[in-house]
Parts: sequence; structure tokens; C-alpha cells
Amino acid sequence: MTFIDFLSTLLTGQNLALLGAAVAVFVAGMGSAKGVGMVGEAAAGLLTEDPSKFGKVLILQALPGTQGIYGLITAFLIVFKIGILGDPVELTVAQGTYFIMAALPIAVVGYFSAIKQARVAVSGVNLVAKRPDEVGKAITSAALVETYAIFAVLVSLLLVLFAQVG
Amino acid sequence: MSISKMKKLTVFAHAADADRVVRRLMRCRCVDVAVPENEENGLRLNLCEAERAAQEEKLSRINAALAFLHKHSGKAPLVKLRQTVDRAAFCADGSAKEAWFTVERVEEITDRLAEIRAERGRAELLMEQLLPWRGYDLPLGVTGTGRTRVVLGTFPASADREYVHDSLAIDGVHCELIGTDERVHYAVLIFHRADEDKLGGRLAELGFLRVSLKDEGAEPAAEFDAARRALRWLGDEAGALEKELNTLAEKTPLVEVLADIEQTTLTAIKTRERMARTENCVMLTGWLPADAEKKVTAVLERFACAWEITEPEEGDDVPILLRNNGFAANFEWVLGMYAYPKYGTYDPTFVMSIFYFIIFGIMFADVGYGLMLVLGCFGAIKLLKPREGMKRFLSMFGYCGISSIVWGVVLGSYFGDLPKMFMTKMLGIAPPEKIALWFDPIEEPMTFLIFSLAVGAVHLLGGMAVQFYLLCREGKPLDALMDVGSWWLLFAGIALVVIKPDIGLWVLIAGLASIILTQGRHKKGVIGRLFGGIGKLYDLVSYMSDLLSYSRILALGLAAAVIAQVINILGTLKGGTVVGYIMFVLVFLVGHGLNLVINVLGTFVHASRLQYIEFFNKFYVDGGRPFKPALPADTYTLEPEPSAVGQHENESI
Repeated sequence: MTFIDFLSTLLTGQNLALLGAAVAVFVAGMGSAKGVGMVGEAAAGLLTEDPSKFGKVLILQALPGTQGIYGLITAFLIVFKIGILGDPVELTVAQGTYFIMAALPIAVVGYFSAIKQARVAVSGVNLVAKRPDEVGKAITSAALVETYAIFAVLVSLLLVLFAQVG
Repeated sequence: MSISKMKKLTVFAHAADADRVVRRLMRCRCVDVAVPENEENGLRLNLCEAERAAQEEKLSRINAALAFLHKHSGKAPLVKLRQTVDRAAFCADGSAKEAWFTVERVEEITDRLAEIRAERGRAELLMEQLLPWRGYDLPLGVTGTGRTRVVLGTFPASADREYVHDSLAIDGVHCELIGTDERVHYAVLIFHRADEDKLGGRLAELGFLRVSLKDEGAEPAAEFDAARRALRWLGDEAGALEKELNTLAEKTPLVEVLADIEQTTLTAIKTRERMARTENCVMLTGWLPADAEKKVTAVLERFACAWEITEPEEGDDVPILLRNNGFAANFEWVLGMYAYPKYGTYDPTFVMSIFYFIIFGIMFADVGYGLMLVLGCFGAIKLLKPREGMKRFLSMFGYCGISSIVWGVVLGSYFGDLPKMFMTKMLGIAPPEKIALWFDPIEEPMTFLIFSLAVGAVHLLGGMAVQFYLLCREGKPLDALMDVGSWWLLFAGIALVVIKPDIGLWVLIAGLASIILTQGRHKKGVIGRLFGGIGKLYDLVSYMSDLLSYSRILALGLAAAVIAQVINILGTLKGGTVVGYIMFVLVFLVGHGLNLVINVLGTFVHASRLQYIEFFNKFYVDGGRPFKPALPADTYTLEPEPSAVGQHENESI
């Protein structure tokens, strides 16, 4: 078997679709992990002064975590669709590539929006430190950023759900 | 439904009555005492710094004692109900004295315990130091005689004992080695005082280090035993004190009542500091809901004071008290997280609560999760009897759970696709073709998307309807027709173009024309007005983006449903065996529990956002400050209703 033959055995529709699922999870997940970490650091700073604000900053810290969840959902839908858990569906290379494309919106937007959202949430933690009653405004501001992750996951989900396979 | 009408209260009272007036008003629970403007009529503020500082110290003593008592009252009960305690009776029947005695005793005990800790530390240190010297038989107080010096010290363990002894003997030093451990030899040197200076170098050569034990007292062995005895006594004493603390912990409820009483006093002092005063008079300004006027005047009539209750004037900073029915009141805090409305404007809580209820349900449509919310929230209210704020918070999620159940039935979600998975994988029977009453969002995402946007359209039109209503209420029906009606005409045109193009086109043109012609009416000149109108057409983009924002209903709905599906797949992996069922239960509890928490948070945040951004921006005027009456403290106990207190009414509690 030549090297090219070896490569072409790897390049199946199934594998490409799985690559799409993987990209959705790990790129969006990296963004969320970074974002949640950033807010966590800021929150810990506040909590050394006043541990009673834990509940408030916890919500702020959880917000940038959703992008990772959206990536996960997209990945699961791709896995369902190509039947890895049950009877695998035969996919052409083009069909496999379709799933990579479908995963891109949530992967890319998820990554960047999680980090940007985390920056708003970090400012929100500072806001809560000075004015604990205004936590609602801090949460709303951070949630505004999430809109774009939601649009992205929406497109990803619709693309996956409408994929013509099997 | 509305913002409560407020009235301004001004009370002039004798300075001697100030405290009692304030306390009685606090018991009414309906007076928000305002901070007077300093310059007003040259009055000065009624500052009572010394009194407040004393009270704060008292309170911090009680709270410190309470913290110890709570630590010693064993395992705190999971559910702690607040008892109703008549505070006047509590002070009258000596319970307050007993509580104070408890606080003082706890302070004594904790002080003594701290001392004991320090003494034990010292004793342990001494024992450690004396341990190698127990073989030394001179009292520690002996440092020599008239001619001789007695010096204690160590040689390194590496030095040869015989060599050290003999070489020092040549120098005229009597060296006695008391003991040896792995590091050093312990030695006593006795030598002539006159030799002290010249010996220094010799001793240093041998690696001698002086040890300074305490320089008084008996032989080391005796001192060691004494320290050990002291340690035992201290331990016994500490044990007895701890035991006493455990007994005192039974009095915790009394101290808790005391804490509430003293906290109330502190609030009264702080409220009094908001008064203005002259030599003999104090003046209080505050706000009360119009319907509480009778209650307040009844209280004020008991005092020799003058008061006036007036309508708010232009420019007054009137606090906002929202009045809503039993359902909508639970959503007031959602409004509070945004901002309270300005006084005299519209309270959107009721309209918002209905939309919130529906949108939350669609986003989180699931019978199982809804049921968990309902049981969890209403159960917690029933069992824990939480404070009003917490009760409303829980009630809101409980009601939203009901909405989730309803929409869960419509969209066929019971812990995701649990019925289907359970029947096929665990029971091995074929599930029914369709569980949903209407459609399954995962099967027909496009239908769900259109449905989400339709809900959004209704929500947005609802916001515009409120705007229409408000403009009419302000007596500007023409503005309402032009600002809201023209847009509706345009929307109707867009919808009709799709359904019936021949009529639709004309409606669309009429809508466009009405917007171009009316929306620039505040500008000057014909050209300005025309361009103002055309510019306003750009708002169409913002309406579109508002509408698209509702696609999050689909995204969040699918998120919850897909994760639930995954949990169900994992849970039913092993099929209908014993192991399979055990695994199913475990995965079910952990997985669905986690999914519930994650999605309640997400749904709450995004349902709120749709209200704040898409709905409120159509009409909402914010900027009010919430009504915060001065209240008696109720951290640990509840106060009986004033009517039940009877003859204690006038006592200063």
C-alpha cells in the first residue's frame, strides 16, 4: 500500500463528518474554557473580599460556558445523523465535508464570542463588587454577546438537521 | 398592574419622642424615610454617632456570640422555620436579660478559651525545651554561686564526649553531660567566674552553644511535671468550658431574638439620623403608599406631634412600589433586575409576566423538567417558609415550570425523548409514532423556527400595543396612530404581499407612505420632514433584528432537548437488565439534574433578555428607585402583627 492509498483510506465521508463534530466540540469548548476561566479568576478576587457574593458571580461565570455546550450539541447531532451510535450511514467525501462546513459557524463564533462574553462578565464581576444589587444588568450585558453564538449554533443545527444522508 | 400612588409624609415631633415615633413607623412597614436635603431651611441632621457606634458594638458582640453558639448547637437543621416572638413581652419577662447574660457568658468563655490556647502553647513549648534537661538536678534559678558560674548549653553530637569532658577539665571547667540526642550533647558547665572571658574562645572551638531556659523556678524535672500538670488542667478547663458552651447553645433562640431586637434598634437609630432637627424638635420626611395613610395617621395620633401628608410635587424623588396580582407580583424582581419604572409611568409587570411565562415555557418545553421545577419551587415554599423575596423568586420559577409542562405536552418532550427510548431499549416494545400533541422540534426544526419567530412577532406587537395605549393615555391618540399605526400598516402590508399580493402591495405602499409622511413631523421644513421620514424607514432593520433575536427560542429549546436525548441514550445503553436499570437510574439522576440546572439558567437569562431588550425598548421609561421602608429586623424571628401585640403597643420595642 502506498502512502497515498493510506491517506485515501482515512479520507472517508464518515471520518470527515467526525472531524466536523470534533471541531465543533473542541474549538467552541476552548473558547468556553478560556472564558469561564477568565471570569473565575476575577470572581475569586472578589470572593476573597466578600465570599457572600458567590451566588451572584457564579451566574456570571457560567455564562461564557454555554458556547461549549452549543458545540457539544452540534457534535451530538452530527453523531446522531451519521449513525455512529447505531447503524453507520454510508457517506461520500462530499457529504462528510458538508458536516465540517456545518460545524464551522458554532466552532468559530463560539470560540470568539465566549472570550468576548467573558470580558464583559469580568467587568460585570467588578460591577458586582461595587454594587451587588446591579447584578441583573451585568448578566444582561454579558447575555447580549451570547446572541451571536446563538445565531451561529442555530445555523449549525439547521444545517446538520437538514443534511441529506443515508 | 400599576405603580402605587405615593404620598409625602412630613412629621414634626418632640425630640424626646423621636425614637418612639420612628419605631412605631417601622412597625407600620410602610414608610420610606428620605434623607432631607442638608441646606433645607438651615436645619441640621439629627446625627447620633456615639449612640450608633455603641449600638453597632453591642450588635457585633451579639453576632460574635451567636456565631460561637451556632457552631456549638450541633448539626444545624436543614429546615429552620422562624418563630413568631412578641418582642415587648420578651423584654418584659426577663428573657432579654437572660439572653444578654448568655452573650456575656459566651464572651467570657471564648476569651478564656483563647487564653487557655495561648497558655497551652506556652506550656507545650516549655515542655519541649525542658525534655532533654530532666536529668539536670539543680533548680533553674541557680545560675552560680558567689565565685562560680553555672552555664547550660549544647555541644554538637559529633564531638566526642570524653574529649570534651577532658579538655574542659584541663581549663578548670567542670562539665557534666546530661544527655544526648541525634543532634547535640546537653551539658552543664561549672567554672570560676574569673575564667569566664578567657573560656569564651575555647568553648566556641568545641562548638558550644548556650541554651537559655527560663531563669527561675525548680529543677527541670519538677518544672517539666508542673507544665505537664498545667497542660492537663488547662485541657480539663477547656473541656468544661466547651461543655458549658454546648449547654449555653440551648439558649441560642433567645440570643437570636435579642439579635433581632438590637438590629431593629440600630435601624431605628439610622432612621433617626435621617431626620432634621432643631433644639427641641425633629422633622421626618418620608414616603408612604397612599392607601397606607390611615394606618400611619392612626400611629401618629398617639404622639404629640404635627404631621402633614401631601401629594408628591414635581421633581420629588418618589420611590416606586409596584402593585400586582398574586401571579404577576412574582415577576416584579425580574423587572427590578432591569430597572424600576419612573414614578407616574406605566408598570409593565403584568404584561411582561404573561409573555415571560409563555416564552420560558416554549424555550424549556419539557414535562419532566417542568414538573421538577414545580415540585422543587412550590415544595421549597411550603417546607422552608422563605422570606417574601425568596418566595417570589421561587414562585416565579414554579409558575414557569407549569408553562414548561404545558409546552412539553404540546411539543412531546418528557425528559427529552425518554418514553421512546425507555420503551425501545429497556422494555423492547415499539413506541407510538408521535408523542407530541403538535410537532416534535427535533424532527421539524423549521416549523419550530417559524413558530419561535411568530411568538416573537406577537411579543413585539404586544410591546407596540403598550406603546399605543400609553400614547393614548397621555392624550396623544394622533401620535399613537402615526408612530405605531403606520408601522402596523407596513407590517400588515408585508404579510399580505405574501398571502394576497394584489391587495398587499397597496397596503404595503400605504404603510411606507404613512411612515415617510409622518415620522419626520418633528423636523423643520418640507425637505427635513421628508428625509426624517425616509430615515425612520431604517428602523425596519431594527425590527427585523429584534424579530430574528427570537430564534434563540429554537436554539435554547433544541439545546435542552438534544442534551436530554444524549442522557437517555447513555442511560439506556445496557438495556433492560438489572445492571441496565441501575445504570439508567444513576445516569438519569445525574444527567437530567445537570441538564435542568444548566438550562434553567440559560432560559432564565434569555427569557429576561427578550423582555429587557426587545420588549421594553418599545415603551419603557425607567429610572425609579425602589420603595424601601425602614423595617424591624426579622433575620431569626418574626414579629407578630401589630394588632396582636395589644397593650404593648406603646412600649419602646
